[in-house]
Amino acid sequence: MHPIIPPVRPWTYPNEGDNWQSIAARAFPERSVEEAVADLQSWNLYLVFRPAPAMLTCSDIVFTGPPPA
Amino acid sequence: MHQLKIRNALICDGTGAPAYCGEVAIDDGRITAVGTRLDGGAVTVIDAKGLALAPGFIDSHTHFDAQITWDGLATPSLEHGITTVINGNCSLTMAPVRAEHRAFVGAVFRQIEEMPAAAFDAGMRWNWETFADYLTAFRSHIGINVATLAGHSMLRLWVMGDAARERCASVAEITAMQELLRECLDAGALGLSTSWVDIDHEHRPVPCRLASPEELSALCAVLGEYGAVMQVVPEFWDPDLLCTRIDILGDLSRRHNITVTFSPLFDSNATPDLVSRALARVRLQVANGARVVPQMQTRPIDVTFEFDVPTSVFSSRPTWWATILKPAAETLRDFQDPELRRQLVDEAYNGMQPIAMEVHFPDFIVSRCHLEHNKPLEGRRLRDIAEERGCDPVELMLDLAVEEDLLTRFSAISVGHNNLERIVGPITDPLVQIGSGDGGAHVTRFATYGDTGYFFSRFVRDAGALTLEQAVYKLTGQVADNWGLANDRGRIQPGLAADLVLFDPNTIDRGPEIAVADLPGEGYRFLRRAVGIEQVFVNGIATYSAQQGYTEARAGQLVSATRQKAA
Repeated sequence: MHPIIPPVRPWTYPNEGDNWQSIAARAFPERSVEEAVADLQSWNLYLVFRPAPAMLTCSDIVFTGPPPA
Repeated sequence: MHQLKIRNALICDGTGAPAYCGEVAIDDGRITAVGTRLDGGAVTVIDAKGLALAPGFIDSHTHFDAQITWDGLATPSLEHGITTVINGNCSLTMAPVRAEHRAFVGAVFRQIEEMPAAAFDAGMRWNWETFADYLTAFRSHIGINVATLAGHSMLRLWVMGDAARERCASVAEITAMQELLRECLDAGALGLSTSWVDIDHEHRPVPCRLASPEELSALCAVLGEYGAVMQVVPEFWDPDLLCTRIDILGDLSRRHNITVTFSPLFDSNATPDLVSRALARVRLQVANGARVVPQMQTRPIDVTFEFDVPTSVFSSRPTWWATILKPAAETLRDFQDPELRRQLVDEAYNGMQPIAMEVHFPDFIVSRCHLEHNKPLEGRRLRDIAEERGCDPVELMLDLAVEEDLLTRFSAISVGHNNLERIVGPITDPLVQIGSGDGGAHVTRFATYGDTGYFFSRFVRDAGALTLEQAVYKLTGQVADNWGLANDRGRIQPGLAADLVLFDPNTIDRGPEIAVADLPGEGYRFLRRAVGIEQVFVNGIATYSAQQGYTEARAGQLVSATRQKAA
């Protein structure tokens, strides 16, 4: 990303084979996975409610922070 | 002695400069002279008094990939003044596709672009696999210029087979995709298209969505070698997601020195600040050296439907969606079940709105009735009929559908991108390109034609938001600049291709939406006829006139990145 353009929200790409737990462990290594997953899901409802059989893909954006207040 | 001269025309040259009354000479498909008064005669002279003369319009977001193989005019785009269409958007193309993937690709295309299966199957003579052979299949019979993007999903399928739908690519597979993209560009592809949004007929992500960021960047590196463009569909309904995608696109643009364009930039009452936030983000990226071009359509969204085919209007209302997905006999039965009807009515009023649309059932129009005694209802709102009858509008819709065996046709009018107050600023913004029209797609749901005429009637004449010259620039010179076509098209200038449109600036518009049974096989599509377009020239040849309709001329050319680069 451009060094002087801060992102609108912090985010990451999923790695292949990722699930919420593995993303949470990577993005928030200091936090309990359970809590971090709950936060991640609340910030990414579009992924949580994505209807099956669509899945998390490597091109998805996963926000790792809340929407701006 | 010139072959053709057009005189007394109000020349809007595609640069946005003030129009002037002048003459244009054409020889061998090229513009050879332009001025207020040209010396020498011509074999054919057209007196264009009272008419504007503009470069042919360029439609940068179309899906004529299948239709162009049986309809070399891409009807009815050409009669709306469009002389160049850019196909292959959203990662979907008809090549390169191996024979074993034709069924899958056809199903995906029919699903996403809402092309009737009967028409697709009857029209397609799918006897190619490579990109070069695909272009060869139609290049000799086109009356409109055609540029085609290489679809990212197709590159993945070709290289990875069915694994393209399941996983990321290996380093070797990415290298093979790069080589395949080079082959496509060498054969005549204009660039690459991809998508972060689309799902296939089995509701799974289209193959390109399984790509890693490294894969997309590697393909963009190839585009950089050719000076070619990338088109992408982002999550256009969510401001944070869209702004983040714009950042990603800005990064790819800077890293590989390419132009990236996304479609659509779409206004919705659900997210009224989305367009302004996205544009601010684009502005920031452009100020930092990126070439990111948002495409905005001119028309509001209208959706016409019958209950025998699922339509997006109902996608966010689970009871409706589940009912309509069933076989017709079961849908009919459900529509008469008292408990289900209660749920349907409740959901109609209280259910979630579909993405980027605002749907109010009582405002649906009864657009076509099957039974004679119901014909007087055609063109009327459910709300008004229900008031007369003292019943509920949604109950009325269900009753009509049941009485007519689901053959009643309803229309949801202006359900998205319809707030002129919010749209008029962005659509005139120098950073925003007119596009996203989707010509050739959604043919049984709404007419994707006439956006050019609507642009003039709504935004130039009615709203006074921009001048005639500015509007012409946004449909011609600006598009040519963004897509790397300006060496050959998009302006009235000596040496350029003589793609020209003569129109009446006081009347140019789109006609009403009509259903026309002109597809191969059985079935109909919605389209709009042009208003105020007098004559269209493609590479110097008269191809359409208001008086005579389409001519037999097939002077269209393939437009490619390599060709533009060489020029």
